[in-house]
Amino acid sequence: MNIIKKRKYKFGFSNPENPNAKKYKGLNSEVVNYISDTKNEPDWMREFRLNSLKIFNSLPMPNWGADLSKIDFKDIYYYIMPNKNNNTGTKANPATWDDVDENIKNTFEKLGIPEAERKYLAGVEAQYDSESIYTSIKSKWAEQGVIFLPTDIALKEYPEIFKKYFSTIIPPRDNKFAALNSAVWSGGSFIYVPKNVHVDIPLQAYFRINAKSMGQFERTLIIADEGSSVGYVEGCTAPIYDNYSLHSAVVEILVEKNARVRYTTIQNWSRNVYNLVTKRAIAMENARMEWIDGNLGSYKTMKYPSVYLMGNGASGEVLSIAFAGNGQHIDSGAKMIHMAPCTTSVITSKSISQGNGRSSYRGYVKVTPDAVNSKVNVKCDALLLSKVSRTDTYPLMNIEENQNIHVQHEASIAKIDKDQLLYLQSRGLSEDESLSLIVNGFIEPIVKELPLEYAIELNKLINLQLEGSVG
Amino acid sequence: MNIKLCSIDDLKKSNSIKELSVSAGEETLELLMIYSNGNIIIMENSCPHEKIPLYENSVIAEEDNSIECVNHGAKFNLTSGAPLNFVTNRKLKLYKNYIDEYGNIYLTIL
Ligand code: FES
Repeated sequence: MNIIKKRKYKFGFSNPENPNAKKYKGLNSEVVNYISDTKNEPDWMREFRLNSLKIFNSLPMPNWGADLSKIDFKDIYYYIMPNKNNNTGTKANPATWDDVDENIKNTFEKLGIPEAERKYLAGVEAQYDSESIYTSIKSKWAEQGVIFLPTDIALKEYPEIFKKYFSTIIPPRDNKFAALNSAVWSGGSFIYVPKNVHVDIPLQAYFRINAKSMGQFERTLIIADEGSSVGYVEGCTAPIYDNYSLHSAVVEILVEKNARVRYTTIQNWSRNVYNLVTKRAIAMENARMEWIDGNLGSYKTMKYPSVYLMGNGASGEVLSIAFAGNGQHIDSGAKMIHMAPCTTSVITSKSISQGNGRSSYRGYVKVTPDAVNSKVNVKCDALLLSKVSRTDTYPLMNIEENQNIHVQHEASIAKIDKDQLLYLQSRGLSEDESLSLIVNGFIEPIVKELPLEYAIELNKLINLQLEGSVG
Repeated sequence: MNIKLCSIDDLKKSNSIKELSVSAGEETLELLMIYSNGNIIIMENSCPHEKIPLYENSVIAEEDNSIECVNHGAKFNLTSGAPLNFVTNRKLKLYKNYIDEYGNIYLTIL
């Protein structure tokens, strides 16, 4: 018998919605024009949005992965203007945390954001529903030319560099949800790290959905110029409502020659959020891209961070943890496209399914004929915590007539071992503690890659998920 | 070697775009010919990304002299064939052409 206690979601509180906020339900050119007008955008961006809307309407829903048939695009708010005394795309960000709207500030204070900023971040951005409400970067990095801004503001302040790279990594035609984001995007982070600058403590963004039936469509663009390095961490939460919310982000990253980027996500949306995200990085010569992707929350997630290895000697790594609890389906994985010689990719996926939760690993590795002497290493392990939980693996490899490729692929599925549990209990641990020890051992290779504060947070979240789940 | 294809008028009559199968020695070349910004451009009728035909699957933008494959959005410059975004790092293969005094278009193969 499976005994699943109802897990508490500690970020489930909500603020009253701003009654004056202008909201549009449904998706059409009127909404898109409204967003563009509100943000006072250049014509090319308005055209890009309207064209993306046409592409969105022409593309079919994916017929694989999580069941998305219940998403009703007509029943979603695509843009909500926050309270008037905080930032919108037309005004500059508040200069200090004290200037942020009181209600919104309280939310982020409950989430611990200002404290984190003081303690261990190079900069922070907070997004509330559609708009970034606060961004700051420590002067040390700003003086070295590092740019860290909400994407909307970067469009105005750095129009040339913005236009040069925006949507070149993930064009709207890539998939239906990338097209949706392209039509209605708002907020997200824009980061530019100049040549040879090393930002050695992470920048962080925190995304919060507050309003009911809200769609959040942030757009992030990171450019690490030659020989530079940067780490970026994102976290996300939302209140619990009966209605579903939709989070559909696009993240584009360019890692230039000899540069290095690490992008860490601790996704902890409440269980009424569809999380359908496209994330892709381009790694040029000898560049290195790392995605560390922890997916714990959401109702359904479809997310496959990818690295296009385009320069000689580039390397990419995805470390992914998925924890699907009761009622959740997390379809996640990675994509590695080898397009140049001597490129290396490593995918390590650990998924845990609890109750009737379902986690799927979906991976795609492609090696083109140009990618001679390349190496591929894929390892995916699944752990089932109950008799009814489910895990699936869809590893796809496409190696085009190639020479000298080294491919290693391992997969394993384990069920929680009663003997192991009994042994640990005989050493004085409770059932919950024993389970937690096994699960934490299972994910340890990934957790040890996280900065300490995030490793602790991830462990806490996993232990919270595990409470009372032994069955 | 010059291989006669059609006249500029023929090309304009077919919406300034034509797909062609051309035998060149042992080989058969699958080509796409367009008339854009006053130029005749002949290219391989295959997207360098995943080799799907560009004919009926692409958008030509005269304002930025590009062709975009609608499959995943790869974009190429129509003068150099160079990719304009990061969907692929492969170039679009372009062919030389020659137009005689009567307005006939020839494919030039070196
Ligand atoms: S096949 Fe042309 S963009 Fe993919």
